[in-house]
Amino acid sequence: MADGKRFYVLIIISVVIIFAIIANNLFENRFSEEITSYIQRFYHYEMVISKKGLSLHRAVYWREER
Amino acid sequence: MKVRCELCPTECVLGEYEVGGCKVRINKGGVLYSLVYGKPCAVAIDPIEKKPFFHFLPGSRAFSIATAGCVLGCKFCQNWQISQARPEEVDYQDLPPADVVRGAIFYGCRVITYTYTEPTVFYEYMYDTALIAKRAGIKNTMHTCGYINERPLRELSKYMDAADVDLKAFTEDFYARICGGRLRPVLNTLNILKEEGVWLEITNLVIPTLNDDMRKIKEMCLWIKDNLGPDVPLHFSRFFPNYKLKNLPPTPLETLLKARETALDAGLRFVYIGNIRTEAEHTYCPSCKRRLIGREGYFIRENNIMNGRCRFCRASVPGIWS
Repeated sequence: MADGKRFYVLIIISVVIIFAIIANNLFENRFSEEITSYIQRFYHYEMVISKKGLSLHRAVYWREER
Repeated sequence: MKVRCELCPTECVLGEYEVGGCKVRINKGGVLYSLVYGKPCAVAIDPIEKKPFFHFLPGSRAFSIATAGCVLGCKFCQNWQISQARPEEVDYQDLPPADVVRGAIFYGCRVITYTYTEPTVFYEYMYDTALIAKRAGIKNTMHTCGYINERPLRELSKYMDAADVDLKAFTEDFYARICGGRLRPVLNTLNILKEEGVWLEITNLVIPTLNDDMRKIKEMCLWIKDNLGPDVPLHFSRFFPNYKLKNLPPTPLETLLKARETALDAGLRFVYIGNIRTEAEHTYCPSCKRRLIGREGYFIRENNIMNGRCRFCRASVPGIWS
């Protein structure tokens, strides 16, 4: 690979990494925690609770939160 | 979509797939579900005295059920292995409400008791079972911490014949530090049960250094007398080290006797001591002072109540006797 092409690939990789870091810093607190927590809960329900055979029965006394 | 569970005063707001503090109610697709409906982890037949009910069908057998979970997190819990467990962590059996009633009839139980853990967490299961039991002529009782909101409690009271409420202490501080709850809602529950005509007994577990202050016990007894009446049986129960309070000693007998004396002085007429064998496990006639019901642990050795009256002096004895 020619030096010019190598340099071009390096620039693209660097730009992607820099953008990823900036995006992570900007949105980490906003989304990441919620998404991680959701994925954990979803996984726990599908892989543990459901597999234990615990069926769902509609509960009474609840209301929607906005 | 988030939902708010309105069953107990904690009123958890749950995100998708989130389970409430009770460990048994989950939000899925914006709808709240119970994970333990028809899935008891404890099923047993006990003497009704074990609950303890001393003025409710003495000597009868109680078909007792519980699921995992609890609305509180008491550090002294005697059943923490199931009350503080998630439903997926315990073994359970499939026992729909109709089968609970069938089981009670089959084993000759006049009473179904929702107990061991906090029955509020399996509210729907308890409610449906109580409804069927009532139609079948079987009485419903529960042993509860009383941590439930007014609306579901009033609805449940239509089918509940008796409740034994754990009044764990008489300070908000104790409820906050030791149980993770509040006292006020429990007092509201006691008042509502009284209003709804549910037979009421109260249990107070006396824990050394935490809630054995006689001034507070007196305050509690006066509150009971003023708000619920002097005829509500009060059970002082002996504490044994358990769960997160293994550092404390068992309650000394002297403390329990002193608490009983304090309650009698405050004007309560039926005060018992539990979890230890004493003369204070018998029922005495408030009028002639003779022994009405002689107990040995959970078992009845003599019963001198006839048609709700003392056999000796004919004085009326409060309770549900037949």
